[in-house]
Amino acid sequence: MTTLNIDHVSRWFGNVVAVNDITMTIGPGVTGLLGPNGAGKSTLINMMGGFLAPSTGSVTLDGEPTWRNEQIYKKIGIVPEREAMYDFLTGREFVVANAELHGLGAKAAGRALATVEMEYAQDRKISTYSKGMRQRVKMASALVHDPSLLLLDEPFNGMDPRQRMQLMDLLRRMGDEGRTVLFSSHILEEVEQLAAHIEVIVAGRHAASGDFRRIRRLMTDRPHRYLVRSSDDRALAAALIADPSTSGIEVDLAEGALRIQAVDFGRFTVLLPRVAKDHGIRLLTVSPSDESLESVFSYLVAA
Amino acid sequence: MAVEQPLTQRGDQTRIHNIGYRNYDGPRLGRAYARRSLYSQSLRGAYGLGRSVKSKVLPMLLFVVMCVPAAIMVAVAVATKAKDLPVDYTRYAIIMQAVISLYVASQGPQSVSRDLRFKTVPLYFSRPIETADYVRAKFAALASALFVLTAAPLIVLYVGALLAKLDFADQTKGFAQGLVSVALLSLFFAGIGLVISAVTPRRGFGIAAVIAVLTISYGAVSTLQAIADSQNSTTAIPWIGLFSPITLIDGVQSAFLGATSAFPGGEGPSSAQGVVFLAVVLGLIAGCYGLLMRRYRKVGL
Amino acid sequence: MYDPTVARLTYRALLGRRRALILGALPVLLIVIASVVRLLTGADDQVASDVLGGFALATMVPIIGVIAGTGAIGPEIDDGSVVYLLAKPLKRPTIIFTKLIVAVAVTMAFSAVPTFIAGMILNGNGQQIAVAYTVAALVASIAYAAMFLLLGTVTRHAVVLGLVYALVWEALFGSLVAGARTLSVQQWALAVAHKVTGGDLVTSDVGLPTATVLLVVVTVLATWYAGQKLRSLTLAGVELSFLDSGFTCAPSHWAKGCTARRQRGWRSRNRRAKNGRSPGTSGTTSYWTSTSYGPRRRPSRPPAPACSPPAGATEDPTPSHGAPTSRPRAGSSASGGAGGADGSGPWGAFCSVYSVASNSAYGHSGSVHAASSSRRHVLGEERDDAHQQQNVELPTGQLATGRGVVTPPPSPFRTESCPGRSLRARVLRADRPPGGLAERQGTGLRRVPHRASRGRGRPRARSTRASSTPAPCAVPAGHSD
Repeated sequence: MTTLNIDHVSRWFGNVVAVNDITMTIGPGVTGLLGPNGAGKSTLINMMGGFLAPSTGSVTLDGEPTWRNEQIYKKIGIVPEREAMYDFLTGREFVVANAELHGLGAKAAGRALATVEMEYAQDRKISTYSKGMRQRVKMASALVHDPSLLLLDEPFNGMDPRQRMQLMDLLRRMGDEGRTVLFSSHILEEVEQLAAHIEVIVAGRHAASGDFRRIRRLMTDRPHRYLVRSSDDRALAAALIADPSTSGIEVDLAEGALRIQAVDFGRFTVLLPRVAKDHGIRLLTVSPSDESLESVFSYLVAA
Repeated sequence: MAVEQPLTQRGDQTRIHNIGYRNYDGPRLGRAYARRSLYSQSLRGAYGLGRSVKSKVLPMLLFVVMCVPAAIMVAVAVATKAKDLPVDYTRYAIIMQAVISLYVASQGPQSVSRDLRFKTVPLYFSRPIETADYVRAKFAALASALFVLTAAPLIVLYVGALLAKLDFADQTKGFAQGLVSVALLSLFFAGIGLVISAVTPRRGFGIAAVIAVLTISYGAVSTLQAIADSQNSTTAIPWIGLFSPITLIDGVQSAFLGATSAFPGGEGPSSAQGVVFLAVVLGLIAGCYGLLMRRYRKVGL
Repeated sequence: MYDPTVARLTYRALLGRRRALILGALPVLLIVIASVVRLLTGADDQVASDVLGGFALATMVPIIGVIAGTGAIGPEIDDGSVVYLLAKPLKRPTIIFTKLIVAVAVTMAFSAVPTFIAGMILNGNGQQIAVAYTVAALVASIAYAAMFLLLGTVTRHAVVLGLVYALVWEALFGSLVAGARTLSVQQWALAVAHKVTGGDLVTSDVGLPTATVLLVVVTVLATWYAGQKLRSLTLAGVELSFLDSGFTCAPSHWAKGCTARRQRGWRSRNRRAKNGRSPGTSGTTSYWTSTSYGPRRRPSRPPAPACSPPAGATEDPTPSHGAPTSRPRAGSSASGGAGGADGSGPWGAFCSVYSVASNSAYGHSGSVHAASSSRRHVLGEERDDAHQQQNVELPTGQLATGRGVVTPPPSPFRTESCPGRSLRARVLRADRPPGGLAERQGTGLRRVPHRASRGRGRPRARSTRASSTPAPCAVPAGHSD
């Protein structure tokens, strides 16, 4: 059970602020670090991994600082973003070298390679590997010493869908085992599927954290949107608009549905079935139009 | 590259209008134009024009360093009303070989090895230019840049000589000989520089490799020639001179272009040996071209 | 203090095929020269001393020291593969020391052994010359390897600097400036050699005690300092790819320069945030709108617009090679790619591929980027005309909404697949028929009403050459989700 504590961390490069006063705690489970390109995700992950010192604030893992502290790497496994590895080694030699640097042996390396299912290609040189294979070997090298914190910088870059599913399964398993897994991405679908807990970084600032549906609930300044199909749209619309919890209803003739903007989410959820029942209208479809991570993200980015 | 997508029409209201980018169907300027553009752009880049300010410093500095001694010589000649310029046209490049080597070392890698290292070469070759076009353009550009570098001081010397009212025919002949020699030198050094840069992917390494090759070969050859001279085995001196670029040029120009040789003992190669020298130079130029072609044929995605 | 795995990795990296060839070329050259000299002159002590001193010690040993010393760590830092060594519970000084040992061993092997062989060829160790110079080479290799390992850790240009030191400082200044000779590793090594021969042939300007002390001090200091520097090695994170900012930087070495350049967009972003000048709909700073829209600076956005000059612009091959070596000329439409005006030649097409590649590398952000521009356009923001025009041209299949939310397109080739980026083409596109863009379902997005945008300074006059035929780059049907 390792917890990563990031406390009022800022990092600037000259005049340019890359990370702006971020405070967060990363606990066990899978956490997704989400943000547009250039938001400071990689800078933050490098600080967490001890490759960059924060200009102010502190990054600590279970109380120990990560900067200039080699012993902390016993607990951290890092999967860097860059593709460069020791191309002249075979996959197996590379993972074995990593294991030896941790003080482990070839058996640990074999286990790690089995976990990422790279045994079939372990005796080929890394220069002949495809992108996904390289990524998996990097994962193996990060897992070889059984770390309790895994930091992955854009791990799904360049992976095909099947490899992505495999990697997601692996990460989910790691998270379920109680490890702390943090991965960064700017692809919303991946984060949506994998991370229970997301941290959104926008322009160096910490924009939101938590489950994205709950974040959406918290965005009270934006009306929730719903798509509702019913047996009598107009009547339903008239009944709903009478209540202050809705701020706009659009009758979409092409879709044959109502698009409802609800400003008071709680009240609306209670209101809708009651109104339908009272007026004898059968509800056929009720689906939220903007509960996806995508809309949450774009709201966060745009604001 | 443009993708033809058909318009869809579902009924009368729904239409998707194309607001995208349209194909260009007009006249295109073709391969020769592309080659010329690549040539001119590489040539300008060799002097830092069209690049950042920092990359202008070294080429311009080297250019100035090449021309200043010529200017000084001219000034001295005019002031002292000398009968002749202190240095021959053909000798000037040999004296300033360090500057020329430094120039090749700095500009060769920047024009060639960055494309190779960052794998942008396929972007060139997926256009209507061929490998030969690319190689020729780059080769010609670096050779022209070197020619500008080495001919400018000669022009300074020539103009100065005319101003100093030295003998016109004499000076013109010397100038012409100098120009020919310098042209050969430009081609040769450009070839060497480009070949070494094309096989060293990192730019710093390329710079070092070019300097190392040019300096060490010259150092070794001149040391051996000095030893041979001190041992009075003067027949060996010209043959030793075959192993370094600058001494090769020196040999060719002293055999055919009436230059005084810089070899120790002052004895340049005879005409027969000069033919060998010339053959070696031309062969090496052709070899460099061939190696470059091979290198770029092997470049892939 | 010594880790065998690090040693193995360094050794294999150093003696990779290409570097081994280069390392081997110089000793071979030395032996060839020694043989030629022997043939020419016979066994002469003075000549032997000259050749060994002038060529072996003065040229070969430093160059091999540079190649081995910088090669032990430089390429790894450059690549970023040093992270696999750093992310281990291994002390950084241990790493440096191990690499130093490997570098010293390689340098010794490639310089001392050939020196000895050459010396034996030259005069069969008369007056102990061969042995003396071999010892000098051994001693010098240690000092050179340490110094150049430090250089390799500290700077990216270690090879060039090392060569400048070896070939310029020691050869040139050493012979010109008397004081400089005390600071030359070569002289220290010669002092040691002098002790071995004891004669007059090998001389040094530095006394033996001074030389030994300086050698030891330099080696120890360099190793220690390199270890300390490695402890603070930063990988500044963002990989600056070529297409990204027009040049590449190793994201290491104290995170200066290149990252600052790339993040200049952030500076403008921050500044705008502070001044609140940015025109968001809610009055707050929008992340995307405040960034990189100034006509001056667009470091994080590739110069897609810059590829096409306005019609009539002369061919100006300003960005060298189109993209690879130039920084993006900040979006000003006046900077043309050569041949871009006609959309022909390598540059126009090159630019378009570049834009395609860079745009596809931008994923969602690119699309939001474009969309928010149109949002500002709708609100009447007037910016650089051509700029705006370019960026309002949403890629095929993209829709802008009042909120600036755009769904990403399904195909990777979203933009500029058609190289017709001349003004004429832009004028044609400007003349959109009313009725605008199709509506998308499912996300409640609405289309931008064209009429709203028409009155707001639509930059180009309506051209009468609007083509009625669909342009080839239309989006396929059924493409909305």
